[in-house]
Amino acid sequence: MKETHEKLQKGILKPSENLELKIKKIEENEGKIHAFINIYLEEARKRAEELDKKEKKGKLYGLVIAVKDNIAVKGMKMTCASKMLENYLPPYNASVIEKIIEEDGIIIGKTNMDEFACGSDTTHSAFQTTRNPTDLNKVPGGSSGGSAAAVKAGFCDLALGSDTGGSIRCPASFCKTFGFKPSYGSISRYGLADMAMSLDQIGVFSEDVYGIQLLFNIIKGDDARDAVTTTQKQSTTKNKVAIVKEFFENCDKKIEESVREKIKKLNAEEISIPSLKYALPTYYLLVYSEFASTMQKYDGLKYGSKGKPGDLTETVSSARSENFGLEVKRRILLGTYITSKDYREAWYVTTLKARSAIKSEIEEKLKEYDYLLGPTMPMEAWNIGEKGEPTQMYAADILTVPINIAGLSAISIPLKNGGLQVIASQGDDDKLLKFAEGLEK
Amino acid sequence: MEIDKQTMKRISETSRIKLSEKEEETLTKDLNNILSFFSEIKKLELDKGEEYYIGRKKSKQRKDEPENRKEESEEIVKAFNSEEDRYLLAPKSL
Repeated sequence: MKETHEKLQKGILKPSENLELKIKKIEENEGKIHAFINIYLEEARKRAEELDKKEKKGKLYGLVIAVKDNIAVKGMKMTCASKMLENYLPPYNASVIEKIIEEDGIIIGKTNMDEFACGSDTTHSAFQTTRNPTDLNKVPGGSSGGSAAAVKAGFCDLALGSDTGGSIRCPASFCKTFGFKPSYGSISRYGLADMAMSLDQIGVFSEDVYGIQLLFNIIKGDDARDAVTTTQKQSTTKNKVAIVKEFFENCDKKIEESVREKIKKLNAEEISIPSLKYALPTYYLLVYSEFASTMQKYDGLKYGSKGKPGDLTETVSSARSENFGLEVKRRILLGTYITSKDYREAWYVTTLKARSAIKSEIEEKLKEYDYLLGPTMPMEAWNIGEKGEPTQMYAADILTVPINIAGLSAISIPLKNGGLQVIASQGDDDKLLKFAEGLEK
Repeated sequence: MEIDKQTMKRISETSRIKLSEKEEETLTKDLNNILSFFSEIKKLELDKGEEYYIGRKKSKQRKDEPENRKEESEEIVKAFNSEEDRYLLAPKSL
């Protein structure tokens, strides 16, 4: 989208013209793809008209941006793809949205996702299934499937997603586009409906690294309203990269070939990170624990879908049982169980210790190498409805979850087969994006 | 079987999620499958401490100064499912 950005900045292309190009694509194909839960064309057109007349152009002037429906945009519904929040209107803009508006970006609508981010293929939305623009019978990946599909289908220039265990990188790989998950703490989560607060990060989709860099540089930064944000320090350059042996276990052969071909000239050293074998259980057990906790706020009283009349327990319980999908319920029940007094030590505390072990092993390697390389996903996009059983779906996250466990920075670069995942230390976002630029050609 | 019928009833009560008989059955099976799928983590020899922080080791603080957010507070009250005099009305506890 570099070309579009430059044309807008130079005044060759007007914001309203850019918007109409996107709307045309939406009219042609959204009926088949279902990327959006809610689109706001009238509001977008009004904003574009205002921008047309503006003299001083912000850095995102006239660019059309789609936003995952778990990020608050005032005036637009925020459903998190759940019946619980079907008609919820957030009373404020997320920090990232404030920044986008300030820089003259045009927000066109809210994209589909797995309900409360519980999924890896966007088939767990309460409202609709998004289809992969590269093959309509396939899933777009998840949980930010709508955002990835919107970018790939040309419905927008850029899109925001969130990534807890691969929810940006997976759809980027499946939809054959670029998806970036910055280091934990790089982007404020104020206004993001959290899934697992020690793992979540907001990130960006674009058809090129230029777009990722552009939007990332605007939305990143310290925010008093998100206590974990910090100005990240860049690590020293080691001039060495590594490819991780464990990443190729159970990987589709064609994807492995594509990855190895792409990185041929980098002279990557092959290394092993044995504790990765425990990354998947560690990740999911952490998610269940934190998710159960954060979902307590949905009681149908303060906002959201109401429960049946009755006493407090009945009202709250019915609101939750009627408005949460099956996967959401599974995760809440599991989280409640493994953090309860009798089982906490065996499950939750063990998980925290496993996290320490995995995190320190990866960090050790990143003291020696600038980047760790491997495939983003061990398989290509599956058919819609194919992975119905939870553990089948969980297993697909095996290559993306270690990054969130350690709070690292990672990007998925589309390849002929699958995607290349490049991983860097926490704090090395700019360095990573610069490196990704080099790999783009 | 790690989670039995009794335990499931207790978990669903604690989570404030009312389950039908059928859901209870399906979910009990699901949860047991999932825990067994992840049970290898218990084999890990761990001498490390528990990791709670990913990045900042020290909590950030802000000044305790009031902000004027009247517009937002109006929207928040509008979203209450039951309201009286700007108070959220909740049903009785018992």
